[in-house]
Amino acid sequence: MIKMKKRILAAILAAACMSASACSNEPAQTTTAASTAEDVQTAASVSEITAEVLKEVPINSAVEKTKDDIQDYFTGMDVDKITDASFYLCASGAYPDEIGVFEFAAEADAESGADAVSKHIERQYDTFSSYTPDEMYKFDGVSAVVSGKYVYYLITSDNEKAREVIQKYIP
Amino acid sequence: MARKKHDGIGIAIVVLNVLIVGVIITLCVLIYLYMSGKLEQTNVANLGQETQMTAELTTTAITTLVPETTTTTAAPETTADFEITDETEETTADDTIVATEADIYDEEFFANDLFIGDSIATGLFNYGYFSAEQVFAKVGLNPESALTDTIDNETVIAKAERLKPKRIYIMLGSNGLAYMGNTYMSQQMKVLVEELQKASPDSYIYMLSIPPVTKEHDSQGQETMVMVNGYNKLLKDLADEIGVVYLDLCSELQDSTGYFSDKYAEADGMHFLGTAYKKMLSFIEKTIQG
Repeated sequence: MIKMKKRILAAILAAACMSASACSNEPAQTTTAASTAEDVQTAASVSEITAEVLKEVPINSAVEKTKDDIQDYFTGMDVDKITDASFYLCASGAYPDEIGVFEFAAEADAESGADAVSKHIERQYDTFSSYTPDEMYKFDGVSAVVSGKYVYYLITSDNEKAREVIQKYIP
Repeated sequence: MARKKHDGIGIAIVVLNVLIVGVIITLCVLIYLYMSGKLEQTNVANLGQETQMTAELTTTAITTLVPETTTTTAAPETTADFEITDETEETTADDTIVATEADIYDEEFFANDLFIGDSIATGLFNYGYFSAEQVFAKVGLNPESALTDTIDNETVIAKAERLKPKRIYIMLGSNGLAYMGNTYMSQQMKVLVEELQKASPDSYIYMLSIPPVTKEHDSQGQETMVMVNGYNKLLKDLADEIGVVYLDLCSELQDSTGYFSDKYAEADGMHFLGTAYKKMLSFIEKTIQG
């Protein structure tokens, strides 16, 4: 009888330990993964990324434009292939500064979207080169960067710093 | 002996109960930590890596497309850590526009109108006051280049002919002050107005004065208030000559000393802050309506 009780106790103890072990690991892993996905979706929206860059590298008279505005600024961009977009520009027209991030439906779309962004950068360079020569350092090393489904570009007073911020979200 | 064995079982039961209570407490602590977000902070700290994993991002191409210049700028160190919260509240388009003064204008009043201008007028579109269709504005545009330059492969004359706007507003000349000569610019302005009248005979054409410059900008010598006032005088005379209306926006934007008011001026002392566009539209509407 005593042996029986011991076995029952041992079984209960083992079950309790297994239960405790399961509770402290598996659900935590699932929660971490779930919250990770949630964080990425909410914290890394293109609008939040550009806003974060703007906070670190301000633009005078900054105004945000979105997917709806793309056709007015980026000739040749296929808006239907864009999931989300956010770009800031100097609305007064005084400075060439811009910060833009585009999320495409697929990586192949991002490649073609980058061409439109590149042409936009070239146009801005041509436009401002004779207009604000003192501001042209902002174009140093500027390019349309493709990273997976994302394309971004930076024309700012401190592109290195802006790039560091953006790479916290987009490697 | 039997009593001792009985005591042994009692101790085992106590130990078991303690273990079970311990497990329950541990569970509660873990649940509390998760619910309070402490575990999520770990996720945030690793966000960059997680983004990479989740989005399956891979850098595929980085192409330099623009020739480099030799000028560089000092880059202050970044010290701020990444934070998710409140990051979008400080700098949005709405913030910029909300910060403007309470000048009132009626969007409907301008619904069939066309604005022609240089980089200053691009703000009408960039700030969202009007659609691109209602604004023919380009960085660097002047009365001469306005005759031939295109936007989306269309000249302003062709655009006026196509749109047949009710009113056409022209604000050009700031870009030529430094090198074109006021008399030549006013002559080109006359040609532009005449071409627009041919393209859209029923449109009312309004010639806006070019805006003032700030005292600081004036002191740099490239564009000065003497130049601005001189050109605006020619514009007014031209308007009288060819029978269009001259609108003295310049006076509306000046401070008590005659320079561009800081309330309306961009940092370069020449372009407009968002406040200036509302002031401009309000002034135009009130002046035309009498």
